[in-house]
Amino acid sequence: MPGASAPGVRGWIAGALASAALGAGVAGEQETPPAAENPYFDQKEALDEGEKLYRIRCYGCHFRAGGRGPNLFRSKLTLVQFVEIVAKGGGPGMPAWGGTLSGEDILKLHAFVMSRDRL
Amino acid sequence: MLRNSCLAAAALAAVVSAAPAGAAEVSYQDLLNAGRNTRDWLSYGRTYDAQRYVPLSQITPQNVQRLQAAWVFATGGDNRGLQATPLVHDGVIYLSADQSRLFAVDARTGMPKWRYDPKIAKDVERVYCCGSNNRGVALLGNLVYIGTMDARLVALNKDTGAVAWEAKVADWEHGYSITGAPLVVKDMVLTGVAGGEFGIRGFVAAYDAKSGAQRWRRHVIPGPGEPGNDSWPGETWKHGGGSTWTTGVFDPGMNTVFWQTGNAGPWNCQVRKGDNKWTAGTVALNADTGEIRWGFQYTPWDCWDYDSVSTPVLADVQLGGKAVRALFHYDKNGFFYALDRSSGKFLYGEPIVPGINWTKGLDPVTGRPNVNPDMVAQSGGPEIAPIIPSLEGAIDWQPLAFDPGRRLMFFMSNNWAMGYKFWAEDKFAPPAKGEWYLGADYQQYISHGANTGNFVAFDVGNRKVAWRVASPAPFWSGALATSSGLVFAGDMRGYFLAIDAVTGKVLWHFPTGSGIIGSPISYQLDGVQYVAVPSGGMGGDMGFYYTEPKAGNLWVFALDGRRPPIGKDSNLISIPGSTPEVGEPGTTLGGRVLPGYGYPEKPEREPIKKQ
Repeated sequence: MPGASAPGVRGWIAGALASAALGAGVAGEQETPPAAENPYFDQKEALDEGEKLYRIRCYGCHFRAGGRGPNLFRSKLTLVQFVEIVAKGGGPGMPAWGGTLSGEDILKLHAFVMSRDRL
Repeated sequence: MLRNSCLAAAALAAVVSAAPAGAAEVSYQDLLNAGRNTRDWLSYGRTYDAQRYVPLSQITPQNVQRLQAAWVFATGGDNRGLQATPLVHDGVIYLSADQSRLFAVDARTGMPKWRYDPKIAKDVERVYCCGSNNRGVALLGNLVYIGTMDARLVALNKDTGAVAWEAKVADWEHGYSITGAPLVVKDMVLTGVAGGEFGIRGFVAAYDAKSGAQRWRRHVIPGPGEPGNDSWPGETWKHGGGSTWTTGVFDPGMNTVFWQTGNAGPWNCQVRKGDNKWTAGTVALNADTGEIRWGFQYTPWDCWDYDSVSTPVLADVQLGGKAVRALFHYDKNGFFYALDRSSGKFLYGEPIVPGINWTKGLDPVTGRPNVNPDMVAQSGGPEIAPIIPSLEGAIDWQPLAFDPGRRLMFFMSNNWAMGYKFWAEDKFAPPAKGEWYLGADYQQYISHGANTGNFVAFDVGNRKVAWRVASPAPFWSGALATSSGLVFAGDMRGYFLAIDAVTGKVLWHFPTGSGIIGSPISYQLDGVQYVAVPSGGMGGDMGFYYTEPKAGNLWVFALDGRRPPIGKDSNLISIPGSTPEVGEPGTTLGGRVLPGYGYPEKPEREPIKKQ
């Protein structure tokens, strides 16, 4: 089961993705959850889903441990920063995934890359 | 096609009427006669045979030391690299840039005339396999054509930059994009598509050059019932890649277009055992219908991402004592090929890079490679390394140049290797909507020795390398040859080089400040021969490995510089030193309306009022 902070994080991400879709900054008008922990950190099924997403959405640039894009397995981003960049896009080359991935997808992706050192 | 006919017709009429009086148009006849025209560079390969050979001889091996920069033009943006071959017509350069942007620039002075930005949405970047590159445009009539990262083909008035029409070539959300220059054939404009890493099925499409209506579309992977479909197991042909992401060539006498095809997909070849026609090869297409006349695969059952996308060169030459209508191609797989373009028959294939090990050699009659099974990864198996060449290729998309008198072909060639590991087959599946479709891990091995980058002259008659120029950095540029015996190319450090075509001696160099990954051209105006080269590294895969400064500049050179005079509109004056008194009455810092500098004033812009 997801941890206690899950509803808060999920609510925040849902709002953040909606505001990103409207063109606002992801965190824009959303209050950042105080202790944003990923509810999927210890969920095997979710980690498997995250790995699957990594392979079809991220691998082509981020590779096994960084490539054209940075090494996500050693990312220092907070969950909030991670969600912001994935949803809205980053620097040149980093797409905006907010229209393609759901908040749950992004959480699973984040849990997966935080769970190991490399693909 | 995206077209509101009334609106488009009105826009087109407005554009036509807005064109400057007397602006010259480009005719099909001009394209047929492009070889003799030294004022212009009218198509991607300069001529339909794509020899990139200019009969200009003002700049020679003897005087090339006097070559100096005349001007430089900056494309701005976020500098994701310039891979284009600029075109020149009627004193105007058409330079495409990253993110499918297009600039029209005065070819004598570098002053901008207009620019176009299709404003590619941020989410489209998920189908960029290798950066937001654009390799050039095409010209016909009063229109200039560009393909976009979101898979549109756009026609603009070449004199004003106004959009005349645009066609949706494919759905970018399913992995399609356009990075190659279109090719004008008769009254049509042809384009291929990129997306071989996203499970697309490659095709070439032809559009009516005036209206944008599609004339024909030919998939290069045969469908059910078509010859060659049985080279794909099951449904794998549907997502088999075979992208067509560079520019074809045309033989008007044969009424045939020759187009190169990209890697087979996914990279993990164990799920698509078979020849996988016509990926990693050349297809010869009937120019009027797109019908495939013949195909030739350099790497059947491509297990190494060996696209065959460097634009070929057509030349009628004597080979082995026989007159041959040849098609020459240098491939990612490390071999230089000669085919008989009338039949697709293999003539020869010579290894150019040392240590090729994916094959034990080519069949001398058919050219079919004898694959080295030790260099084919297994699903779920260990990494296979080093495989030579790497998937970055001995060459990639870069165009060759051919000196027909000296029978020398000039091209870049890199020495590097890779490791390849195939994922277990339950770790990937055909894409539903533009997902990555690889099924493999890849690791590039870079040589830091003295000769990672090579620039090669190959004698096509004697089938031998005549000379090489080695660089510690890779070469990633196209080539240019001139009749005076010079060859131009650049390396990833940004050195633009003039090389003696006969000896291979580097006679002149210029540090452009960023990697050269575009293709040089030459043209002559008012008795002055210019050489132009885009400089702007970080475009595409090379940005993985090298960290040279980003930029997006077009450098133009001439003997003794020939810097254009400052235009009379530029308002630059020299003023003798003097210190104004504080509070000096009666002066104003306004007082003059500056004439439009650079891009034309927008009509809606309020002029600065005189004080």
